Amino acid sequence: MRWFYALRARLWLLFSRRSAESRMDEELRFHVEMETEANIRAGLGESEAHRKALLSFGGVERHREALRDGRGARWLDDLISDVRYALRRMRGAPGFAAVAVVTLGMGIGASGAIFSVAYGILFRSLPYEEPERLVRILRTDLAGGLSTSLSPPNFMSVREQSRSFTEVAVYDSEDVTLTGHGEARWVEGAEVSAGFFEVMGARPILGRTFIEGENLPGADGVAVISHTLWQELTGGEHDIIGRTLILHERPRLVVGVMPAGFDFPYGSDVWMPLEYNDTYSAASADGRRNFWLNTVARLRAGTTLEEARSDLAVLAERLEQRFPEASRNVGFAIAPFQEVLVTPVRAALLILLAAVGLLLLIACANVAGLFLARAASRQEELAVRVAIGAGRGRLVRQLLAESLLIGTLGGAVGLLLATWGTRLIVAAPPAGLPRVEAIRVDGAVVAFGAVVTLMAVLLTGLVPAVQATRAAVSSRLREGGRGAVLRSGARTRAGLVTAEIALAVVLLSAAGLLVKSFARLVATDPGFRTEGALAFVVRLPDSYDSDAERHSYFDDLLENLAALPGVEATGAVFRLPMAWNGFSTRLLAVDGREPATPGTEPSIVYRSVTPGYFEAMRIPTLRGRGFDHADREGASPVAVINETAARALFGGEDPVGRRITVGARGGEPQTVVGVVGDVVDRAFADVQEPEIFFPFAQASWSYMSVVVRSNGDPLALVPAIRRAMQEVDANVPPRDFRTLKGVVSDSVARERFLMSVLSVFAGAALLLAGIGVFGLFSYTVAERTRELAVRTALGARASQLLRMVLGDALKLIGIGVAAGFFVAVAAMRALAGQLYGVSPLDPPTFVAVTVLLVLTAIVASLLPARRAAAADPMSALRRE
Amino acid sequence: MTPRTQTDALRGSIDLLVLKTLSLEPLHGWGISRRIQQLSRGVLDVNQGSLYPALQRLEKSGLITSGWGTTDNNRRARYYRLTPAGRRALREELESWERFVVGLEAVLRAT
Repeated sequence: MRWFYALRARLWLLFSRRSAESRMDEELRFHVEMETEANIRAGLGESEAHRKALLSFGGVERHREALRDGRGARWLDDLISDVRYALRRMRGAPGFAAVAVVTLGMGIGASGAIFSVAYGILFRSLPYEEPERLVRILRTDLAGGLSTSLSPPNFMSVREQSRSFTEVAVYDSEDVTLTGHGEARWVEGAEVSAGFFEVMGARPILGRTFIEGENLPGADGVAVISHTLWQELTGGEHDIIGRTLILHERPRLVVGVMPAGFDFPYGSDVWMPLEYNDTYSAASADGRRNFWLNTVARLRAGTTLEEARSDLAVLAERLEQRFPEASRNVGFAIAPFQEVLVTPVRAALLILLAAVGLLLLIACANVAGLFLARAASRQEELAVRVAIGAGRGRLVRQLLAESLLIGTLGGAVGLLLATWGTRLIVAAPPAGLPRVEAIRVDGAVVAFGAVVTLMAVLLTGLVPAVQATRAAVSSRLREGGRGAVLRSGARTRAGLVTAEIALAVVLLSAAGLLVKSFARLVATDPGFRTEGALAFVVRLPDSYDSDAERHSYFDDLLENLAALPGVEATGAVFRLPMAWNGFSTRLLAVDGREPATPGTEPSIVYRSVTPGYFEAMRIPTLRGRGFDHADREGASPVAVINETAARALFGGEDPVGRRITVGARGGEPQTVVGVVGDVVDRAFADVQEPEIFFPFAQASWSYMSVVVRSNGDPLALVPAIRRAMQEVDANVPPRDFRTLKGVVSDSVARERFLMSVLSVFAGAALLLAGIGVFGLFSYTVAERTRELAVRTALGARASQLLRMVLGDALKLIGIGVAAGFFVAVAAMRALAGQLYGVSPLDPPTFVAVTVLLVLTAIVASLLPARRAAAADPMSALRRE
Repeated sequence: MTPRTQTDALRGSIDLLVLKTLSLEPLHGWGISRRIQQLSRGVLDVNQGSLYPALQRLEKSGLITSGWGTTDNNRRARYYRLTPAGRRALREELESWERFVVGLEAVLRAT
């Protein structure tokens, strides 16, 4: 209770100054009155009584002061009066205030937006139970390469024989069609092993998840659905459990519903048990080299990553001994789950953070320059204050009040901008940005904004305040003293502008390098023609379980499509290049070459294609032929290889007629019938790999990308394509229509994002630096009016004055640019990982940056320079 | 030993005096100083310069609280009263004061 009274008294004393003062006055007055009356009763005259009463206080005003100090609010009083004064001054100079607030606001806003993105993606913990114990089990190979896929037997071995995990699970994305419930539609889904939900720590809100046995072949079809899907299908009714859904033409019983927000992996809305075949056994040697499952595992409490690593290393050794052919050189690695998700973008995000930090510094330097100019104009006022006894600290605090005001307003504007910026990014994220759901403006971002604002206030306010008060304290109230004061202010300001230019150099160099790199990237020939073609995905349901049925479907479909008006060519491929990377298989034998020792075979990328694919993609056939309809099941097994494979495997000799054996075709030799041009596998930045193609008729898959080349706008064909597919099988809807141009563009979305954002920053930096130069020279020219007027009077020509000012400008710029390059040369190395075909020290880029900055600075200083040249000596001298 | 003025001697104990006075009844500032004079039969004369800071101090510590009231002459005045914490503090202070006095007397009356 005491706390309550104490706090109430303190707060009231602190904050309601006026009523505290008036109460004090009233109390003291009352006391004096009562004392006076008592004195009168004791016999004194009225005035004597009153005087005695006052005396008993020993000086009422001093008393009042003592009480006021007792309020403990002196600093607050001062602060409030300083801020009020600053407010008044700002209202008298709205232009300055507006520019300062907007500049700071943009700097703080940009930093806030980038921070919220980077913090959300890199640092916010995943929304699963104890996410720090979630790990991914990776696979290492002979070359030290790291892959995220395990094979079914590997998975079982790890699950059963490793001691470091409470549970290990695997998953694979498996989008399915949902039919029988209105129009056929696609649903994102995943096939998961038993124990998947235990690993994620996710419990269903209705029903159950999977139990052992449901993964076995022949088990009844079951499914767990997401909260979103549940609401969509039944609006939240509990009788969803036990209902049957037809997923990919297979009836499945709904046994559970997951809570809202759980959609791992890939935004899944339905989970199905992964069907175990014979290879899902720790004892199996078969299938041990079919690496295609993604893992997630939960570390046991108390087990460290290191312990798990050595545990897995021991297991790898044991597997190598037991299954020498299949497991030689196969090792395991382990990485925290979040790390694997975000590693591809971490470098880019950190670069963005650094860049926006530089931009913020430039903005602060600009605003500090503005404050310097303002403080310089208050020299007289400050000198007077010093003369009547203000301490230096008090002066600094008064000047800081102004930057506090501007800083706070700038921070508020910045927060607004950061929120909009973040919403923009979340609404339209670049393709491939992980963890977009974790990006939001919340406490962490606001705290960051507050810290940044405080830093900005100090940076922009402290330098001018210290500078101006040093001058005020040491100057004297006479005319001549002003000169020295102003010169030192101008020097500091020039230093600020030089720093701005240096920072701008760094940003511009980075942007320039990224732009050049991106231009090189998209100018690279992907190996196929992108104009006028589109691709879409076809996934056949399990009812198409024989090769013959799949062949027949695609034969019919491609025939129908080719007959459509406007279609020039059409074909299908398993895993469209640049949208998906191709699968790899072991190269077991090549005609005319020594077979490699088992376990060390090189791998080769493979794809399955229909006849017409190469034409549809306009991939050139360099030797021999592509596939035709004679290459079907039962005919002799054939293959087509790309140029890189031809060179790598056969040197300069003709590969046509030679035979190649790969693991994916069951060890049967395939005869090469042709060589086609190289095509980029997944990303422009990848090294070109050897690739082998098989005819779809001999190697069928149930999901393919169909490519349609049109002689006009390909997207105009979409309705006709949908109709054609309906005619072949209404239960198989197409999905993911994209032009080939779009596919290529999406593959560089991340690079484009980094380049665009950095270019925006660089542009802003250039603008701010230009404004800084302009402001500085306007200021110095104005202050040198007298000197310039004297020069004119002594015979200097306008052009000479112009050259003088421009010369000063170029000197400044030169220092700034030199300093900037010094830093840039070191900093650009950090960019090397993001550059394609461009060295971080690319000379033409640096030359271009220099030229740009010099031009900008010249333009910015031209106007003040011309004003200097046009100075009228008589009026200037008279003014002084 | 220089003779100590009353204000010196009082300075350390003014808080105690105020608390004790208010424990008898709530009073305004002038009333407190008057009452202390009366109760001490004129020996203790509180310096107004130390009274109001003491009141402010005690209020900030939450031992007393204040509110507007009217005097007998229908005048507005600020009345102070003890809080429960103040009552407790008074008891403790009285106990330690008595211990102090007993100890002091024992030394001074020793032969």
